Amino acid sequence: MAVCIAVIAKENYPLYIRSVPTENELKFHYTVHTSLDVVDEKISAMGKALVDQRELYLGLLYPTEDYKVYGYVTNSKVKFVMVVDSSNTALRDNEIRSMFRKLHNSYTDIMCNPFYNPGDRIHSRAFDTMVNSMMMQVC
Amino acid sequence: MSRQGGRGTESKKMYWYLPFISPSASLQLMNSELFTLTYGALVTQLCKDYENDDDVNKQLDKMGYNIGVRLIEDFLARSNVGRCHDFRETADVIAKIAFKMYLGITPSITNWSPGGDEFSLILENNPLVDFVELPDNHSTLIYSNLLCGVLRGALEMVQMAVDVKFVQDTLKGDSVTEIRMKFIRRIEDNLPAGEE
Amino acid sequence: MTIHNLYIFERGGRCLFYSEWHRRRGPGIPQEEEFKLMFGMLFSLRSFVAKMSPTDMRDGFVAFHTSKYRLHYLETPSGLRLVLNTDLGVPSAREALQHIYGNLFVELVVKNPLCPPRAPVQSLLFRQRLDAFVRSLPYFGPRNPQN
Repeated sequence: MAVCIAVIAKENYPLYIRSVPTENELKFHYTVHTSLDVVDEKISAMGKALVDQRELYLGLLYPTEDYKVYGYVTNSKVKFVMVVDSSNTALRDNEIRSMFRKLHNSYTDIMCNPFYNPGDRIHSRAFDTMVNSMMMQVC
Repeated sequence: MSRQGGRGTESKKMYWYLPFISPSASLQLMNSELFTLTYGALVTQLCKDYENDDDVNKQLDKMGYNIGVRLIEDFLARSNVGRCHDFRETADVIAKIAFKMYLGITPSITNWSPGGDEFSLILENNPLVDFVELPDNHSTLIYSNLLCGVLRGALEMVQMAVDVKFVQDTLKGDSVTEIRMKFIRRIEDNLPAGEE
Repeated sequence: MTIHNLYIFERGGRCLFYSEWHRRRGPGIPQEEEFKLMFGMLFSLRSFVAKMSPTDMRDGFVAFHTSKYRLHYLETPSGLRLVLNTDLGVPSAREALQHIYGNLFVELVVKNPLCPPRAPVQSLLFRQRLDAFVRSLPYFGPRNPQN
């Protein structure tokens, strides 16, 4: 279960940020922002190799003492960043990958909504529902 | 690990048959997502142009009418259906043949009025509204109003004046999409002056 | 065996299209009059056939023939009427008429957004394709001198 999920546009501004409400949201925003540097570094490293199978999932970006941050970039340079609680060791790599895949599918569904202009903030009910299902259930 | 576009299994293919104009005429397939996206682009452009939901609804109806008066000829040519004897037969033909031929869905017919002149078409899924979410500032927009115009125009060409409107819409939170069709009157042949 | 001419009428009586191939003599009246006469006759024949039919009728009026020619008729539920005059050697031109309607008229005229519905057909492509189709029919031959 994620603690914070963010969708960042190609120009590195946020399209969507949602975090578990009881925590300090600003801290998450900061974490996501700093992780963008790591994402950019990984993208440029990959681009040079010109692999024919572009890996969309970036893996663990960097661990802090409480959290682990994972990244995923689409072919159109839209980035998904997920912050996960470090204490939750049950989460394996495959699960993280599948969560990103679901995010990517929901994101493409939003793009197909004719009322959505690419570059706008995301206000979709369906996307919210999907993200909520992935966030930690905090009572 | 390569990543599949997971929606591939869900995209429906619509089959549009080219008639035999030439012996090499072939089956043409079109992806329904392209159709949905095209319709969506049309509606959003109309919203930008007119800025007022009512005007957009009227335009969609007009466009649908123009499509309907032509579509009926294509339908009659392809399906070889003869004249319908009553409104019930018309309803059956619309739901089972016409909708199937053009949109690939078969709505169900319910809610006949006691006089037999009104009925409802229930569409479980409407291919025009895949992926669409209506924003809050367009709450009075009837997104699929084109369908109403098409039905009205097509039936007018076979001498039936009908009134068609949406009563339920999945985009507005209802569970199904329901179109209500009401028979108004039969349009009689009017002969040119001097005949009989 | 030959084909004389083709008319296409719409429900209100207007002639949308006329084309002839082997017509030996004209009617002697202006073309407008000829169209009105043809439409009026068809209308009367249709209602006559419907009234006089001994059982329930599906297609109604389909064709008539005289000692010199046969007239074939196709009417769609949308009110479009196609009339083909051939000589007596042609037993039925129903499929030809259906092909002209479904594959030529609908495809080239109805689906053309620049052709307003129920207006006379100006489309050159339609005329060409129709001509090619009619000439390709097995019963289109040079005019039989006796007819």
